[in-house]
Amino acid sequence: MSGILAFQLYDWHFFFQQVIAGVTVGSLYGLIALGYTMVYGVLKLLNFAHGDVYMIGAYIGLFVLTALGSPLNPILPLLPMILLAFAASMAGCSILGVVIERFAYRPLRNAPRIAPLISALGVSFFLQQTAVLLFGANPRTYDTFDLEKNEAGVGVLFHTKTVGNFSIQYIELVVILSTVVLMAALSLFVWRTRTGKAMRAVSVDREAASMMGIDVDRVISITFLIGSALAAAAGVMTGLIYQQLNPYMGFGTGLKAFTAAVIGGIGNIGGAVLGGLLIGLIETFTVAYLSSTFSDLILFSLLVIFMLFRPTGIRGTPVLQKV
Amino acid sequence: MLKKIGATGAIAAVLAVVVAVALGGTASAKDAKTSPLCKKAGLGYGGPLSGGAAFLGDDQSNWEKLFIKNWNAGKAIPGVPKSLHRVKLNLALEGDSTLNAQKAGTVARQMVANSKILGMVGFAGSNENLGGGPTLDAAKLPYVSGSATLDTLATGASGQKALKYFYRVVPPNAVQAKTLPFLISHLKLKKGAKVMVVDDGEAYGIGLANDGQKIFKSHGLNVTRKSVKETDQSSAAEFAAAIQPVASQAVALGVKLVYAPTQDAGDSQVFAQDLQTAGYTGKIMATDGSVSPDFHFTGAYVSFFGPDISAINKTYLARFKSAYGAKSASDPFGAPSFVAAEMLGVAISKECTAVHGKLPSSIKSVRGGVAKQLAKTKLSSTILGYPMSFNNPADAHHGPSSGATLFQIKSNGSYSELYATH
Amino acid sequence: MSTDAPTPAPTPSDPGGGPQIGADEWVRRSGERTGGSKGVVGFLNRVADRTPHILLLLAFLGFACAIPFLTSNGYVIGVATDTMLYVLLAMGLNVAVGWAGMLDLGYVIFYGFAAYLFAELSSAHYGIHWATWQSVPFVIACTILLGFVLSLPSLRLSGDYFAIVMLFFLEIFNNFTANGYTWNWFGLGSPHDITGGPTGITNIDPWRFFGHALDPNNAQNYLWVASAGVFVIAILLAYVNKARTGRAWRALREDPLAANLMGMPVKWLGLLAIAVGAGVAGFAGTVNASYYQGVFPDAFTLQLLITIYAMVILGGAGSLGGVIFGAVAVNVMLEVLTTPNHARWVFYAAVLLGLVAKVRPWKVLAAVLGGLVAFGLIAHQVVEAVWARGVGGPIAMGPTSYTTHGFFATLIRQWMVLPKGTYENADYRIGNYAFVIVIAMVLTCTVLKGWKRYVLLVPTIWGAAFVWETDLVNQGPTTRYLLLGLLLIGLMATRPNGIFGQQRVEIV
Repeated sequence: MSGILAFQLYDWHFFFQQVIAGVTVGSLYGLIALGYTMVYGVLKLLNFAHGDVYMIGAYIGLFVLTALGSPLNPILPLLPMILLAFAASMAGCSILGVVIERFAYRPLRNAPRIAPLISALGVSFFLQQTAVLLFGANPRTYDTFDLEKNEAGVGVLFHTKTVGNFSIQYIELVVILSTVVLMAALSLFVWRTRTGKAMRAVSVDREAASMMGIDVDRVISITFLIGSALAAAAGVMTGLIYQQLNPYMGFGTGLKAFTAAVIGGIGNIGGAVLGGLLIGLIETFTVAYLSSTFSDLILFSLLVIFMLFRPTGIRGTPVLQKV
Repeated sequence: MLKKIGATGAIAAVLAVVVAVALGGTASAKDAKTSPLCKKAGLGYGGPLSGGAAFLGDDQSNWEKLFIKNWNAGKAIPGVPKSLHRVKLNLALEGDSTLNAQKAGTVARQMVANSKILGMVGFAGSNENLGGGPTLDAAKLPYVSGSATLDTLATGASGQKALKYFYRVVPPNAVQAKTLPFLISHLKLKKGAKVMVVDDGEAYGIGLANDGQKIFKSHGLNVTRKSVKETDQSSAAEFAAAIQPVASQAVALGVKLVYAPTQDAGDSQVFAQDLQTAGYTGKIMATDGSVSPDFHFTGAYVSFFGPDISAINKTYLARFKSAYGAKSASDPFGAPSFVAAEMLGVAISKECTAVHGKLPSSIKSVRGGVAKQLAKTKLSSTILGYPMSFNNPADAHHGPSSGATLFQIKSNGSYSELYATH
Repeated sequence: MSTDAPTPAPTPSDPGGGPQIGADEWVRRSGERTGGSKGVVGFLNRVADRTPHILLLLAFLGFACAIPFLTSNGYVIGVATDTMLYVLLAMGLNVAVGWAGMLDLGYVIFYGFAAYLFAELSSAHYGIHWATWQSVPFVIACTILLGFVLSLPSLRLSGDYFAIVMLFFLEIFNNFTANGYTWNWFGLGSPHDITGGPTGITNIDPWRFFGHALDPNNAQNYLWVASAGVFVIAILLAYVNKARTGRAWRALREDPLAANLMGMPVKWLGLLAIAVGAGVAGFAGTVNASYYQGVFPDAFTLQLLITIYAMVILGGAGSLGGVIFGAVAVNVMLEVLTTPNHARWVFYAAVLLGLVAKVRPWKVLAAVLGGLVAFGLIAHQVVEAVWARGVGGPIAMGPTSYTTHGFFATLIRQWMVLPKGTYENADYRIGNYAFVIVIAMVLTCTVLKGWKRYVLLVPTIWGAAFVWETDLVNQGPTTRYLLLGLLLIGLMATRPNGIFGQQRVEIV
């Protein structure tokens, strides 16, 4: 039986497994896409270096966990250890994001749009090679599967909870819930606080916002701070669930997340997560029900058709061009 | 105005000097009593030194450097006769081909243009040899790979020229697949039993998967074929996102054996773990690309060329560890490059002895002579624990007569031998 | 071109200074804004503008074609051929990105498609061997057609959304070429090997002119073919740019809405720009297939696209000469940096050039250089006294060769602190820590102003040289992209329009 297109209807248990798997990976794409979409909103910049911030976040989490003895001799219980990894990673990457903005993008505030794009590219190269220099080119692993194993050798994070036809692993639950929580927190921030209002003002009209007394530099720094923190969280979660790290992991995932941000309507926060979920689900279902070899081809063809029908993305609104 | 010209002129002059020096001229081999190449010859390395697969290239070139250091210092090397007069070697050029076949073409030109180089260890990737091989062949420069296992490299296929100066110290894919019939009978797989074959989207995995699929089909098994890009060429999240549905499919289809040849041991480990959490009750088999402490899934089967994972000469393993770190020392992909360099070193020394130090003046003839010696070179033992020589050029060039071995991983992570082809 | 400002109306007030009665200030200063950049580059720009561009092109191509006669080093000629291909690609991308202002993220598709189509038509893959004069024009025509088809979404999508759709097409293309070895029309047919999969299509026919085959192992053949292509294409493109189409593209780039209102067929112009770029890439693809003797899926990926973009933007998008310069500069730099011995020259030359170009008053420059030398010597003595193993290490010359002798080596070793164990793994981590510290120092330097900056500059540069000698110089492949990244960041911060780009005012 050829595997190129072996269409089979499996059972409901299989179906739900794929839904959960797709939502999990989609949540990760969505978290990273939030960073892309926020930065685009305030600066109209496609921040290519964002994927590499995600990579650095994953590595910081790895170092924290290894320092705490994971996976074979952890000195702390599971939850505090993971929270500590998140905290360190998000703090470190926030600083990194702010530094990148300050030195690579701020001088280009008034330059043609393609200049910060190329600068972002430069930052991306730089971060990747720095990671190779400092962390080594060898792939590393969180090895969370061995963390608090049961007799079958399966780590506690990967234990499955089954209710009828529906089964989910704890770590998948953690990822999905964290994404929901972080997205809710972000929405609250953007829509209910003064800084959030300032961010929205800057994304609509930067000059007018500065004339109204908003400190544009500070707002943009905060945008990068939040975006990078979210990417770091996604990085740690990737390490916890998918376990493998290498210095170039930010490139591919960043691209998918960037795609998600645009599909969802670039500049729109809810759209970014929706876009991520859409891509994650299509990816998973294509491999599960259609072809694993041509899954990318099918995914992107569907996305092209989708874009042709909704030219501004899922939640994007047609932009009025002022003359 | 003059100041500007002066500044411009100065800058232009500096740039010109830099470019001229940087691009370098060629040093022509001067005719002398003993050819300078017989006093000091150059070796090259071609493989991925940057990019996702950089650790593979680094490993291989480090083993080559270890060989050169010990060879030049006169240390005892298994397989090198004590009476052999060693021509001093140096690693003249490390060409970074990033597993990209067209870049390998440029690296090949660089090797050819360097008139000190008499042999190259590489290319690491099978497709790199397809891209860079023709240029090396035209210059008669022999190249010995420690990891390119595509079956048709040396013999050619429809649409692919045979690479005449390509040699390898590892067996081609077809040899490893010979362990499968044993596994089929060991697992008592009957006709119609379901088997899943998952390749990694690379020439390595696809080649092994094709060979394996043929064997499974010839035993009447029901084969489902999948393809998931390995992590070297994509990110871990993409890989894992694609491998989870494949794992659940294996469970849903009731597959008895999953055969997943991939070059990334971490990928095999993650795949095996996903299968376990999805409730898989069958067996999983990986190939030599996964032999590493990173793949330690209890009960998995692994095929490997050569008799034993841990048969590597202890002295040299220790020397490698102290120079390059314990992590790299535990992956068995670099060591064949040591042997590859060794074959070249011995061939060069034998050629110099045969012509009494007076090599022909054309570098092409010199390289051709080295290649001829290489074809005849035999080592009675190597650091890998088995002898090395190259087969008749009509066959794929490969050495180890021991073929392939099948291992099973025990609960403490160690590999125990089940079966060996001979 | 012109730094001449329109003559202001005669007034009794100061002619050179501030605003004048009866003269439009903005108009008067327009020359400063758009015409002249200062310094060396501005001077080169003005010289280039005065020379007929055809002469500049001939000079460049003449030098390139003469390389096989200046050296017999096959590698250098090979790099020259690679560079010519990049020049072609950069010129093609410039049409869409530089002239028409469209973000074409799928450009590499056309390059790859042309290479693969040529490979299918003129190789042993299907056994058909079209002659060069048949397959090359056919492939170029097909690529132009593909360019039109793939740019059709721009009729419905704007700017960034169109860019992402082109990126989707690129991913589709990559997936198809990498997995096209068992294409069975989704179960409706039997598996066909269309693209050869990861092992690609090899054994491609060389180009043949009048029965004479161009041997790809002699890179000069394809250098000349590519140069001839550059000549013809550059002239054609320059002509198109000077004509109405070029002016229409410029209008499209500057303000699409205004152009539309003025009656220009904006959508059609967009399609045309991408199709023309595709045609240029198509020609480059046919040369690529024969020269590299094989086409493989990993040769036409996003990585390549990024490299071409870097070349185009670095050189100055919108300027044909600029992108040619960008292509040459980036590719040559990346190749030179692979060998430690050569890379070392480039690093020190770049540092010196940077200092000379940026540190303006001569006295300050002399002070900085003097301070640098003194700092190094003092640091060397201090470390020698404190930590015996800290000095005396060899400097890296190549992958396995290190030296302690030679004039230059001794000079560096006296000025620099080189721990003995650096290349034997004992002390190599020092380079890593120093790397992080030096980055912090560089960032601080950009923030400080005045004399504080120059004072910090001295240890910063010395620290950079320290990291270079102990860590980076021996890791060519990693260092290359590190330096390219730094170059892009620094260049964009100082010259956002690229080296030879025109200073443009972007109306938001």
